[in-house]
Amino acid sequence: MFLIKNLMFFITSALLINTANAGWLDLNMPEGVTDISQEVFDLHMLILWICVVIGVIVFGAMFWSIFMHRKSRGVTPAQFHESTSLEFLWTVVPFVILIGMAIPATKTLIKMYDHSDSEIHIKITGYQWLWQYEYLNTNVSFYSKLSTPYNEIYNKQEKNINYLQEVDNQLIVPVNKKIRFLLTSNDVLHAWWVPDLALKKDAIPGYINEMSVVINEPGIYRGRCAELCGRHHGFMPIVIKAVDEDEYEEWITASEAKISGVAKVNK
Amino acid sequence: MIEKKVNIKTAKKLIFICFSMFLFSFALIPLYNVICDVTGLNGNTSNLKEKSDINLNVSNINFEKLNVQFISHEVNKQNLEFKPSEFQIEVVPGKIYSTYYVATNKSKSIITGQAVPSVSPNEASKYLKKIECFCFEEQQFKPGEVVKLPIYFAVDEKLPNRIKTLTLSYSFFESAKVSKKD
Amino acid sequence: MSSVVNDTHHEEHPSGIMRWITTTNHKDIGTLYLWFAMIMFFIGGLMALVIRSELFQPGLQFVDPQFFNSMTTMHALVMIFGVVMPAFTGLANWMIPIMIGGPDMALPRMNNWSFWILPFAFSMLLSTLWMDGGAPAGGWTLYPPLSLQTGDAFPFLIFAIHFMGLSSIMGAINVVATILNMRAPGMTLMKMPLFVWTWLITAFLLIAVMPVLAGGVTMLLTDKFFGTSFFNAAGGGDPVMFQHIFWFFGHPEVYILILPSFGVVSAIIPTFARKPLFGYSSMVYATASIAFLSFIVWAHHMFTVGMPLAGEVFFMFATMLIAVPTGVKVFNWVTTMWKGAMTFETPMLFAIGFIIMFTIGGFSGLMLAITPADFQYHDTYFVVAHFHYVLVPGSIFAIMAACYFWLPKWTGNMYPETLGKIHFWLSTFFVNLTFFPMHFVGLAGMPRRIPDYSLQFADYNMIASIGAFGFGFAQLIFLYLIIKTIKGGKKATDQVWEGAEGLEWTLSSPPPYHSFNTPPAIK
Repeated sequence: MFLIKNLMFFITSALLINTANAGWLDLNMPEGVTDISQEVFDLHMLILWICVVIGVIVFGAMFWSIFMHRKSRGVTPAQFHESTSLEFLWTVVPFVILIGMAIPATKTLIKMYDHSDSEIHIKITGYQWLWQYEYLNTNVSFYSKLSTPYNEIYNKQEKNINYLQEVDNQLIVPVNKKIRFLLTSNDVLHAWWVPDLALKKDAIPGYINEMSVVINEPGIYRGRCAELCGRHHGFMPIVIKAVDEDEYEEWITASEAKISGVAKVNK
Repeated sequence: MIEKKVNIKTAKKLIFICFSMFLFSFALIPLYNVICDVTGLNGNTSNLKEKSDINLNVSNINFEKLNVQFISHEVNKQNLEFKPSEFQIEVVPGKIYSTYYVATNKSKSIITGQAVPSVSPNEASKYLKKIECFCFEEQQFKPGEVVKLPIYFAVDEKLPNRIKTLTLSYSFFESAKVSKKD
Repeated sequence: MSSVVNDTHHEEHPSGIMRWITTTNHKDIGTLYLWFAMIMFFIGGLMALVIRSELFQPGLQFVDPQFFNSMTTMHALVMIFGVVMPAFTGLANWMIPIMIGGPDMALPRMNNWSFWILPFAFSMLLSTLWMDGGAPAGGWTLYPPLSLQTGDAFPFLIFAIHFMGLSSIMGAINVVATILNMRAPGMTLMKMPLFVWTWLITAFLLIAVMPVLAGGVTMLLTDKFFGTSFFNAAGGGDPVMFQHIFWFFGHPEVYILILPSFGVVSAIIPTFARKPLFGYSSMVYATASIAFLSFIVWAHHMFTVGMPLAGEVFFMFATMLIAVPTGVKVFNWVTTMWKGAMTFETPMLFAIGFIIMFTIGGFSGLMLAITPADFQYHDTYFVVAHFHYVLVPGSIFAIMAACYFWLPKWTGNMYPETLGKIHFWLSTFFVNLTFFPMHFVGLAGMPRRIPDYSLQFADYNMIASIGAFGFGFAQLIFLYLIIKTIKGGKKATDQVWEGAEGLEWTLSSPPPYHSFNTPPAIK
């Protein structure tokens, strides 16, 4: 099993290096910017290559017989229709391969479910059709909705590069800190999905779900609602900006001060 | 026609299976609730009040500290503000703690509704024992009223070690018939 | 399709439209089912083309997002309940009594009823397109609370589903009763053709799960109109509960849509390889184990709802297990072809196309089973690509293969072979052009059920749309070919295909109105 796994990784990495410039990555799952998203990507590639190898063997045998065992070549058909050993073999071998897939998958899954030592807690609420982010234990809370102008959607204006994946208020988080997200919904089901972070979970009204992430690289990551939620389901993107820890501290302090300032004025 | 009789007999058996499966689909609801209670499948803590007779053996305290967080969600923010009084409590399993939520009726009419609890992670829900709570009881708030809603709870010692943080969330839903009258 | 009725018993039956309305003959009813599926195939296909037109380019061009959602919802309902299921029931009606040497279906009157419910159910469903609030737009999975936001269409949707369920349950009861009671003497269970076997198992699945769907949608109905809160968190219910009920039905349903095609392919491959099917009994056991496993894997459709770790792991393992019996089937087919003497008439081409493309769909299914990776695939176009690969070049190709395979038997005329081959190659080319790029856009991050998308997905969506139109137009050849064959053509022999074996090939082409009034002798 280890041999196969190593071989797969070898082929995968070789192929990636060779074709990285040919836009291969545009066709594939993003490797992402967290340790777990990298593991998920490796799992994805591992299973893909196992499937490719099985496919080559099975289809290879099939095409061989399509070309060699055709009536026009004057062959007489064999009459065998049973072979206990063969049938036993191709029940057991796939089973073993499956175990080889299940072990790394379960390991990654256990890591995904570990939310301990989270330092920042953010509550995400889905609405038809926008997101609300609340930084728990602070008073920072805001809504985040699509900022693409209608004229672009209705083709009256040229579409910008971030068409349908830009928002008015980005979710700002620090890198290298464990962030725990608590998800719920105000109305119907939504799902919060950012491919680069390998995070996707349903937001369910009346219930909370959780997930956590440590982002390794600063940057802007874009995602979308992934559960049909009505008319504007396709128009509620997610934009998350990962910044250095200092920058985050500065930002959260400033936002807190701003909000409490506004609150004082209102009173 | 013997054959016909046999066919009808078979059909009857199959129709019986059909009906049992139809009933089974309804039986899935209580079944699901039982499974949820046992495994904490959906994080719903609705039935835990009856289990308040759990053995809270304080002498057997596991000294590893846990965090219990409180959050809330109001489906109609304009009318009712519904907030926990504190975000997080550090707790020791087996001991009873108390906290409270604050509800403020900001509208000009009576609001009736109920708070629906949910615990995350889901499997922790069966270990978070609420001794007293206001969930699933219909609440009424007069216009302008500010009400403190207390909770007494304890975390079961049997909570798996890997869970270090529990979050208790309340979503406040207004009763449909009252909101229609407004 | 049995326009020429070769009735040796001169039985009275009305002519014209009344013949079709009052018929209790399994061949007539089979024909009705197949034509119904054909009509629905074009209606559902038209909806798919609306979807693909809107997705041809980024931006909103043709339809409102709400209508777009209606189209995805209705396309799924029509294709599943209106095309694949009736088509297989039609094939079952036509072929099962003949294959087991029986005179007709066991319960002929119920057979008539179970068909004639369908046009009413679908008129009801399609009429919602003109209703206030639009047709159902919450996805065919009907997840609450969104599905409860449906307008006037809601009760029509629920009752249409009830009727479709009723129809397929009655059809299934009939199939089981026929197979258990109507076999010719000597036709033991383990001598039955695999098509009969797969249908027997499918029928049991139908009887077991359609009532569960009926129960689930009834709860939706009472939640919306009678104040219950089965799925309403505000009243102590759980929206996720519906998903559990739905997929308890939904996953076996997936196998209902594919198992009969395994039977069809298992009939065609040995015929054109001129070699007996490899591993008959392991095929039967594999089918039965797939059916059994289908009951314990439902939650793999809902890995992202937030189940506990143990739940995710269990459903991942159980789902991966399905690859074993499915693999057995594919290996058996390939081994059947091995060392045969193959010819490649249209049914064989479709069957081979089925094996290859269904296996591709199976591979992506295996990838989807891996829970951590599924978090990335879930509800994206990768899933759309996956289930279209198993349903279009899977189920639909198998149905077409079956039509080409048995059309000469049904009508007594050979279909035009070259045209059939053109139909196959065009369909295969365009089906891949449509669905293969969907893998890529899905992996790149495009969710399903969206009417508009970001610019990085544009190229592949354009390719997919072109493919969809090509595939759609290619099916007009199929329609033309069938009508032409019914009207006439080269007369078919009784055996039709050189390597054909089985009771259906011992009858005349077309077969007599009542198949076997004296039971045939079984070797």
